[in-house]
Amino acid sequence: MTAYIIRRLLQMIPLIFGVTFLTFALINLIPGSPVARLRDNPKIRPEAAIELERQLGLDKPWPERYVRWLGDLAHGDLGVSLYNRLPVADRIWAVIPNTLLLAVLALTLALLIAVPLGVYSAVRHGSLFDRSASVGAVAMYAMPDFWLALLLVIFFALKFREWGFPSLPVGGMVDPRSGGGFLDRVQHLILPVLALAMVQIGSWSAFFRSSMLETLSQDYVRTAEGKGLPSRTILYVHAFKNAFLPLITIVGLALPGLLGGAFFIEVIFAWPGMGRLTFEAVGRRDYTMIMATTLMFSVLTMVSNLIADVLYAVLDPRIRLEDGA
Amino acid sequence: MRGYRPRSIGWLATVLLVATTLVAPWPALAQDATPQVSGEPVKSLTREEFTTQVVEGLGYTEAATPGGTFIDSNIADIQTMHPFLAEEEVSIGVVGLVFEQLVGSDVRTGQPAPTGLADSWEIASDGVTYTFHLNKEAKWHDGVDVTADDVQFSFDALANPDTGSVYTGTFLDSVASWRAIDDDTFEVVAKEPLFTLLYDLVAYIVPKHIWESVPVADWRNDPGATGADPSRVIGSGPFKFQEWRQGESITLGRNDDYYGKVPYIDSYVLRVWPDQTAVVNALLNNEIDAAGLEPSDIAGVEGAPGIQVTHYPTRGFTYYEFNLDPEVTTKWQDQRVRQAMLYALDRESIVNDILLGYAEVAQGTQPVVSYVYAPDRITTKYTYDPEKAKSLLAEAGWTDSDGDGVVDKDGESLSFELLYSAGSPTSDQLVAYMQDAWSDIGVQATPRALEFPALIEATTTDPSFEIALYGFNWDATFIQDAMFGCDQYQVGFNDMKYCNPELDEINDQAKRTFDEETRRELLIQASNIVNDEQPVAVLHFSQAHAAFSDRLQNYIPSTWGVDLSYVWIQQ
Repeated sequence: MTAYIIRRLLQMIPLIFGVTFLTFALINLIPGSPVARLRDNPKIRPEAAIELERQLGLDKPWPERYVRWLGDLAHGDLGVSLYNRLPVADRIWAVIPNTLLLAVLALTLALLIAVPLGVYSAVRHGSLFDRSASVGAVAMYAMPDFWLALLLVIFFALKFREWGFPSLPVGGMVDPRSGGGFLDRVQHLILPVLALAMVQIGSWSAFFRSSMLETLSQDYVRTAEGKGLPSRTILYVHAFKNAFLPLITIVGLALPGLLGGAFFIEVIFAWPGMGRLTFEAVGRRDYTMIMATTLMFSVLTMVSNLIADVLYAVLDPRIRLEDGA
Repeated sequence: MRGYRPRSIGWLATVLLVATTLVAPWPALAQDATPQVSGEPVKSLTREEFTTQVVEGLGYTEAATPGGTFIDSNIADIQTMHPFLAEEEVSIGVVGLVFEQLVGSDVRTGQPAPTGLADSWEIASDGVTYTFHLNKEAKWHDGVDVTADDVQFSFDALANPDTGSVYTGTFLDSVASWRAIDDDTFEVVAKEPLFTLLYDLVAYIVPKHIWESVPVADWRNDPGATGADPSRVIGSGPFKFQEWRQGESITLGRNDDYYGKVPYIDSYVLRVWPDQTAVVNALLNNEIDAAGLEPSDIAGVEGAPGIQVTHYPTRGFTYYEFNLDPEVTTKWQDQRVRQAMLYALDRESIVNDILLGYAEVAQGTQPVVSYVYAPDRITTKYTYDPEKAKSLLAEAGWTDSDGDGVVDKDGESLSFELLYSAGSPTSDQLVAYMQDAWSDIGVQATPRALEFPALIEATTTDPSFEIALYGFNWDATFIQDAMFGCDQYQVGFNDMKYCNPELDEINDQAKRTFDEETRRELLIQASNIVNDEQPVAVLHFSQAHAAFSDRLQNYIPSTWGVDLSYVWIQQ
């Protein structure tokens, strides 16, 4: 097991090289420079923009800059933002808790709803509940999360206000007028967490339902039924554990997506997290920031995959981890 | 060179000018070298005189219910709380509430006003010596007196390239020397007698006692610049810094000890949003009190309870520019072709149908808010006339010889890409119309939307464009050499590679003219030259739109800003 983990960790290194190289190349090939924004200010003479480019090292060809970036990385230096020349690491450090908060809450909510939904659908297989739940799940899974987010905003914020009900906020983490107390924060969390969780609920409940169904048709379950065990025991003690296993992989794979890729949700809800940071960095051609968040995201993805695989092996004695597992 | 008449006249003028210089240097140029001042010092209004004028002129009311929090909005966060390092308009806006310059600006006209640290100033008859009288009561937010020492320190730091400020270049180009005369008097000597000095100078005054112990190169990361330590973000302005939550909001509190007009509101919060949709939603949901609007937002916001929508003329114009570099394209070398392009557009229709009336068809290059605005003095009116457009094209040798619907000349079709900035439904409609109107005269334009940085690259850094549509905001001097000056190609806003030395002469003389009436005449002349030669075609002078809570009083959005010191909230 240890050997396997070490092997996987070592395999990450060439992967990181590849991802960062590709990213660096791509963002530098997109037309537009980080100093283009200075053109909007007539009090800044354009020579200043050219000088700024030189100061930021942008006058060197991008392969050279990539090597320099790697060198800095080896020293643990992620560089400074090309927007405000403040350390990128500080900024990322500051926003990660916000993204984590959303991700953990969304994950919890999704599991709390998807698991019982899936179990109940499997147990009541073929019933009206099962069929409507399946349709609902597919519908939710098919919906783009940003569209769903916008719908939530229109309904629970704008329409509610129009109809005279207390409305939920459209974005941000706190309301500056009320000072950001606990209730205020909760209010601001409801819609983004819901939006982030809903798509997962769709796919996870469907997946869990089929996993549960498959487990329930296994011989050992029939044996247990034959032995006269109460169905509740069968369900929760025997079947559930086994049906639950594949969910670990699914959740493990979804985690990076929740953490770094919730771009749209964070942008729509003005949530100051990693996704929004990356989104704004791309618009500003803030190369250093983009590289740092991409790096974080890649490492997160790889580590989550590794943890999911290891966890799966730990829980399921049938699995033998091999190369390429 | 192909028959590009203005250029040859300009060339001739330059030759004559140079010849005159060689023959009789000083007498010939004496007229231009001395500043066009009346020989007497120019004296500004005093702070009191000015303030009375503004309060009466704008009809400001006294606050019945002072206090409260005003929540403003913006797309894009500030970069820093240090005035020397603030490059973006949003950063400057917030920094400008906490810090002050020597000279403020008039919200009605954008012109220099005695609302900064200087109660008044004089410009000597030499046109280069400025004497500023600092307010004696001015204090820093930590209680220390503001003195000319702080001004000296700030100017020294701004002049130092190690500070890393983008304003250093302009500063060093305009200012020859500066010194404190006594505790409350400061003298600045400009390099040349240009009236533009006070407009160009971005010189915020920072507290010496906070910043002198920090090497200028470290200012950017200092907690006084990042806002990490509010006790180091010390300015002299009407608002004090409280908090900067990156990516979320900036909070400022009222400075009760301010020597000038103490604001009515308790605090000012700028909330940052990622896009315009979020801003509009937040306004409708009463989470913010004020927002800028895109034309497409107006319909959704107008009529919403508790919200007022206002429209105001801007200091900018919408225009398209031709690439006049023959190495990139020869299509636009003939003035008649360029003129034809504008005759083919029904600008009245654009203003009424696409902009819903929120603009004015441009005559000349000076917007409605400019002191040079004089539509009746513009000699060539490009009233919609597609027939005239066609005949101009034909005169210039462009005909549809191959019957494909597109005119051509010497084997080249008048077909090109029309570049413009992506993200605005109004622009999309505009270019679609332009494409249509031009196809009626046999010109084939293919619109292509680019992200702003990419557009800049295609038109400025690496100019491969043929035509590009832009908007541009002018500063309060309204001298347009930055766009039309021969030496502004690639370093300024002259993407076209346009050059008319006669125009440059006029603009230069205008810069040296302190008398507004005389300057106006010169600039009208300049406007006519550009209007005739069409290196760019100015389409319209647009209005901007803003929406705000109707509880706000004395809140008058304008292209020159809002004076937050007078804003109060009806409780």
